[in-house]
Amino acid sequence: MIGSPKRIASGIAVWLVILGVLLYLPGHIGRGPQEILLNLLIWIGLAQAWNIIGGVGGQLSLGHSVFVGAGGYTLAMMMIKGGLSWPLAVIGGGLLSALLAWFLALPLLRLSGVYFTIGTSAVAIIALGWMVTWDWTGEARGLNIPLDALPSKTLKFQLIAFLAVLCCVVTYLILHSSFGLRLMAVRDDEGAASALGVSPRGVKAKAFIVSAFLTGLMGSTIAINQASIEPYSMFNLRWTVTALVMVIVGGLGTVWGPVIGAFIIYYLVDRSLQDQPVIQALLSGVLIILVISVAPDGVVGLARSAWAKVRAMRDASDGDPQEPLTPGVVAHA
Amino acid sequence: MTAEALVNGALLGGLYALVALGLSLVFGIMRVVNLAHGIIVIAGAYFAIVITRQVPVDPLLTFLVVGPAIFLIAALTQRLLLQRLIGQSLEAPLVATFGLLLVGQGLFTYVFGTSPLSMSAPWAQNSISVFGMSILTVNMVAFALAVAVIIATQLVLTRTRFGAALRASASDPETASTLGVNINKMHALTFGIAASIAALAGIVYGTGLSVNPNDALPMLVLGFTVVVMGGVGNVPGTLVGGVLVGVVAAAVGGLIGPVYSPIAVNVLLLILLLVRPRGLFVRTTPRKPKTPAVTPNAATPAEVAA
Repeated sequence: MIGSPKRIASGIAVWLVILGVLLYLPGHIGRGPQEILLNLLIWIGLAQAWNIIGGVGGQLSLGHSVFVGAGGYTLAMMMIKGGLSWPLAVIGGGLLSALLAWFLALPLLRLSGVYFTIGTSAVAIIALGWMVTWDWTGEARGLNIPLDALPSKTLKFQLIAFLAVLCCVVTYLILHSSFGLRLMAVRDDEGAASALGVSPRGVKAKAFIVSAFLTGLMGSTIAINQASIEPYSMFNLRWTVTALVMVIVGGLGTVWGPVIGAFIIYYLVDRSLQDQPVIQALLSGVLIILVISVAPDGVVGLARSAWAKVRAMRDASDGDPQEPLTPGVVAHA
Repeated sequence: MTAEALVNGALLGGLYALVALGLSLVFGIMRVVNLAHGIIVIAGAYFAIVITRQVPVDPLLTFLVVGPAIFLIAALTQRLLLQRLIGQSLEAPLVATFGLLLVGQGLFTYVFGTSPLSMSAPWAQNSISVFGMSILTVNMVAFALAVAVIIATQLVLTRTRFGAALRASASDPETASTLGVNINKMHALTFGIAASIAALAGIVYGTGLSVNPNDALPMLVLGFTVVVMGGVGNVPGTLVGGVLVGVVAAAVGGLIGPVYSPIAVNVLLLILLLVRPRGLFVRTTPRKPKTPAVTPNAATPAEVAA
């Protein structure tokens, strides 16, 4: 729903408080926890960015690895060949990804969501195949970003925290805007939405571009974090698959879903199965099948319905115990 | 690049058509794109590899066991899992079949690892000389099988009561079910048949080429490219689409380099989506329908034109 400006402001205030805490953290927590939190924040950002097109827009993209890779490679190229500073290069990574998405939306968003899903995976396969052989970007060897040009550990953490929160705030704003309403209307009933004057292709394309922009930003920070990049890791389909699994488990199309999903998948599942990547993949598959068939709204959906039940029970117990008039009661009276 | 390479590519296209046929049937009849289709193809190959390791039989013969086994697994999966999700939301079947893809990939990686595996058959490595061109037997076998399966599918769809019931459940499920067609049963059968055709494709694939679990997604995209080219649900179109994709892959492989032929197939899909999203053989451009799927009734060119 579109919130009142006051409600939206208080919603954003929550995120600003979270950001404030995150910016304060480096140096005040141990190295190990900071590293874990850093990775978690990267995943939250990626999952949230995917959620904008995949959850709010209902278009399951399998091509977001392209934007992770494009963001990372743009940053590296701008810093190595262009000699630019990292803040500019991060923005460059986001912008190039957005441009790419704008271009890709032309063929991919012409038909129903299925074509988009398979079309995006085609793009991911093309991108990986291309990057492995492109000598300008170092072919399969990849690129090494000069370490002295990179931000300090603290600044890096703060940058990633800022971008992850940015992804959440953008999703929050979309969900509470008329654009978000149009996007969700197209997702839920494309025919009805277009009969009411909404251009399905237009709103989906915008959501895709915003999603790609944020994914590109996250991709460039991944490159900053790794310092040396190569195509097989930067353009790996696992970026998309993991983000997708996180969003579905947490709750498609919600602000907190990707955050909770990232926590569950990265912190609880993947870290405990670090040396068992095959089991990890297997479990991801089982999890999303289970979630989509038992609780399609994910953890957030479960929590919401549980909360609604608790409220209904509380209302029933401490509210006026006014019995509804039933024929039996009437007969007694 | 020689004519020989192009002819071999065209014949190999028969295999691509066989990969795509099941995808096209499920999309056309159930309006679901099975993202796990690629892993079913690969499952067929792995099942056959397991059998040929134990019993020294020709890989193609393993289909007698692999086909029914895959049919059962797929029909049960459709009945127990997918049926409930169809119509629930657009994403639900996509997510579930993607989950199946991940599960299959994980299982096969666990059992077989990620290095490519293949089977050997006495005929697979031979080649025959036709008009001075050397043609790989495996490509000829693939093409002959594809033609046979596609003709059989088309005949079943257009000439039998079962086919009529299938087409009815595709074009108007509600009316069909009031007339006594059990839609759920039709869907389970469609899914099972599509999967066993995919398994057959997998057996040929594992004999002529090789498979590994990570091929599942590229295999799906390959199949989908053929489907889009031929038109969704257009059974004969699948063969034409497969041959065209085979020729394009062979041409790019010969002219630019073999590394680029998988890229070319994917680029072809994007170009198709941009210029002919409804297939090459849809002559008129109809008003934008709600669902892009052309039902299998539109299988013959005459009906498409109408």
